[in-house]
Amino acid sequence: MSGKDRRLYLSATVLDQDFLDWCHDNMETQLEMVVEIETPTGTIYASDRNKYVGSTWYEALVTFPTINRTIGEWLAPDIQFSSLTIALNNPTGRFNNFLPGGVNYDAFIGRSLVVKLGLAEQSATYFPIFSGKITDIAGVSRQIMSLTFIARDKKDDLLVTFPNINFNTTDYPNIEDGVLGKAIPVIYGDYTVNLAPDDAVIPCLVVNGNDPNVKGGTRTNIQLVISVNANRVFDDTNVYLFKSDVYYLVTPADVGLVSVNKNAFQIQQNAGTWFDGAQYEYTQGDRFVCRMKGKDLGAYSENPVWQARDLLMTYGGLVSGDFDANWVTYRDKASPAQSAISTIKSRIWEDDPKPLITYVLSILEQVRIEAFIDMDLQIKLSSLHFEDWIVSPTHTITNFDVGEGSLETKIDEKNNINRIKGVFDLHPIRSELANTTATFRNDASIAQIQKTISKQITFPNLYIKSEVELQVKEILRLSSSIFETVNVHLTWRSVLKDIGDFVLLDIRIGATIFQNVPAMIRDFGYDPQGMRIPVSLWSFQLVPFPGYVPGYVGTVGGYAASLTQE
Amino acid sequence: MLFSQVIKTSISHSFSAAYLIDPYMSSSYGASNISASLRSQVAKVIQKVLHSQVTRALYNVNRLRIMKDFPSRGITGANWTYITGASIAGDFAINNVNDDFVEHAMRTTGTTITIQCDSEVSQGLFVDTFAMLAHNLTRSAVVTFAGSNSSVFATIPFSVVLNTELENMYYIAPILPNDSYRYWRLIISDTTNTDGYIQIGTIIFGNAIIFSGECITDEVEKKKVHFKDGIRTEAFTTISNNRALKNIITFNIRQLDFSKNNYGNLMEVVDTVRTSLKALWILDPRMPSRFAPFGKLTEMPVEKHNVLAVDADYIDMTITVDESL
Repeated sequence: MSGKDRRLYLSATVLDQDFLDWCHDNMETQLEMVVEIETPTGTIYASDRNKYVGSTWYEALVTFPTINRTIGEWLAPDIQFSSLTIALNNPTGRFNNFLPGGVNYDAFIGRSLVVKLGLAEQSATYFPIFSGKITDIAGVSRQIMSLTFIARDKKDDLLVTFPNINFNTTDYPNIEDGVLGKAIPVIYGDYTVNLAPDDAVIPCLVVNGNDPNVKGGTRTNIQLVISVNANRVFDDTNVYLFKSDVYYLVTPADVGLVSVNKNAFQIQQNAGTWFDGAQYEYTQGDRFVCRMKGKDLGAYSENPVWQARDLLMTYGGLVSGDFDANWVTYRDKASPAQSAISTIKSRIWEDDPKPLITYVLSILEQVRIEAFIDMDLQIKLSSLHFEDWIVSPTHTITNFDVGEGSLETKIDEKNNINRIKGVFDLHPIRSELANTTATFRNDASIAQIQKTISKQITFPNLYIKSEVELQVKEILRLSSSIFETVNVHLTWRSVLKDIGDFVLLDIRIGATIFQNVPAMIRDFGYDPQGMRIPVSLWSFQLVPFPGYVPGYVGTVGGYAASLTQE
Repeated sequence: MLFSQVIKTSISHSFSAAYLIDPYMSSSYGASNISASLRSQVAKVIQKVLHSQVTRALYNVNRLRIMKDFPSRGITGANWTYITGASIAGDFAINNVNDDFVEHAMRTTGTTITIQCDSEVSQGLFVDTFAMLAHNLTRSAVVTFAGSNSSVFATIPFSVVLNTELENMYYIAPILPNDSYRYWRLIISDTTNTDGYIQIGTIIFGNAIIFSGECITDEVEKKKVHFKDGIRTEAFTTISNNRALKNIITFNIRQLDFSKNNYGNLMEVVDTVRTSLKALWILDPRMPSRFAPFGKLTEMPVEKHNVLAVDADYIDMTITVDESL
């Protein structure tokens, strides 16, 4: 008499949680990894064993390293790459043509490298756990018996800088030296409002200041450029000369020849008497500013999520299919007020080339959103909004899921803050953040740890004070809760989880007890040794959020934390 | 006038006395009734009146035989074709049967096929040993092994239905093959195979190196090795990720006479395969599927020479063949 096959992995064709749970209950499965390395002459199909996946033969040529993916550090939008170093056996010199001196060496850089994980030979079950490109920085190296590839994930592609077009003498033959070589700014959002204490903040760069008939002679029109992108609105009634910290409104009659893209215009000299009652004549170094609205994103031109997405598409080369559907979800999120991204306004002016991904992560972080590359290799958003968190995750982690000796908990010291002030609204003309929020603190947290930990958080792209203060308070509620990070190796039962997912910790290991505690996955990995899943979790044991009340003494932070405004 | 009559006999076998005495090989492995007998095959041509010519070739089916070279792979290594049937799309080409990765297989679109091997040797192959490894045939499969010197098998001078066994199957020629053939076919019908296809990992055949007289000792150590990765958990259990199951077989050879051919042949095998090439080691050809590792030596065997005299050097050694190397 036989029941359900205890070795279900021999016949299963679907890799889902039910399958993993069944196998885990029987303590055995057969998950395997393969790698596909694109070469100038085809694809190398390799694995740590000789095997088929579907109809493709993978040769035993590699030993897989642990593959980690991370969402990065909260409140530190520095890019953290997920990279992979993998060695390909080469005892016979079979792959020497890819090495220095080989005919295909140069062509190897930038080729794709994809690691997949799945069930035995069932091709439909395989999913990529790492997809990247071989880097140009030591991406290929050789050892006596092998060659090694270093690949970085999709974020590496997004390390490009923006803006990426500079002023040059071909397009602007009479440009002044002070402008030549500068990047032409990129502008999103509304720069016609919330400009105090300035009258206008968008620099308009003179591109014919070296023309003898501009700086003297016949005093022909001054030509100015605002941005590299087309704009929605150019307010010709609010163009100013900004000189010696004084704004002189250029009479609208002298402003003209606005380009179709509303990103260039001209100012007439020796016409209106708007400059201290006299006609204006250009002097090298004079700076003009204007009011305008940047790139047209339809109904979402001020939306921070949509601005970030457009930057990734415009300068990172991404297409709509590279984004998870939750970008739309968060773009349209309308409540509660502190998380209503659909109404939170953002604007971007940038003339200093910066890493694209770093800038994008910064925009998102200002509205408490993080981006990561998910297991479908799409860029997905993870929310730090309390109300988005899952009260009762269905995936429970028990002692049976925890690798022996792997559990390690520690207080997240970097992100424990109990007093915060926000500075916001970057004014390009000053290159500084123009406004400041009130300072907020969590007295209960300060009393508990008997220490005030202060931090100033910047919101360069947000410009409405009430919206920024809401973000400041939410960040303080989370960061003052003194939450723990749990580093642990899980068994392969959790292989289908991903960054940003919630799990329920129900663990009792010695003195470490987590009894039905929700936790968020921050880092996620695949260790082929036993197919362990090294993860880093945020434990919310002391972080109440809507629907979850820990009930522990000493809960001082979280959703309902009481804050004091100084 | 010289009158002569030639009578060509059929192949016959004669038994001579065992040269090994107790305690060595007093009873040959698994066949005590024939002991350590020397089986020989005699092809006899008698000229009844004047002369008698005897060609004597040593051949047996109960001694260690080793295939280290695989002439079935031809000269090009791309010498298999479908007569009927075809490979499915993907990396399942028919010539995959020619490599040492038994996992690297040919797979067909159906369950009835005829495949042909051109040995690419004009004088043909004498085949005394055949192995089909890592196949998916069922016990009800009918496998015919045929040889011909006609590429279209206009005549089929050799044909035998193989004893079908699961996973690995073998053919040991009962008598020394007198004829060689360039072309060889496998006609396979396995219509009840629920896989819906025929898959074969490796096919090798040709003439093996065959021990004569001397043999391995009775004790054979066979071990299956389970390759897995385990995670010891905090719940006092180990959760495993299965990898593979492979065989390791260890056998001993005792008092191998340095002056006889067996030692030289064995050394030829060892020197050729070393610890890096696979060979097919059929410990007892009467039941090849029981102990026939297709693997590599785990280490170069240590020879323990018991030198009693110049012409009396007897060697002990232990050989381990591992399929996972």
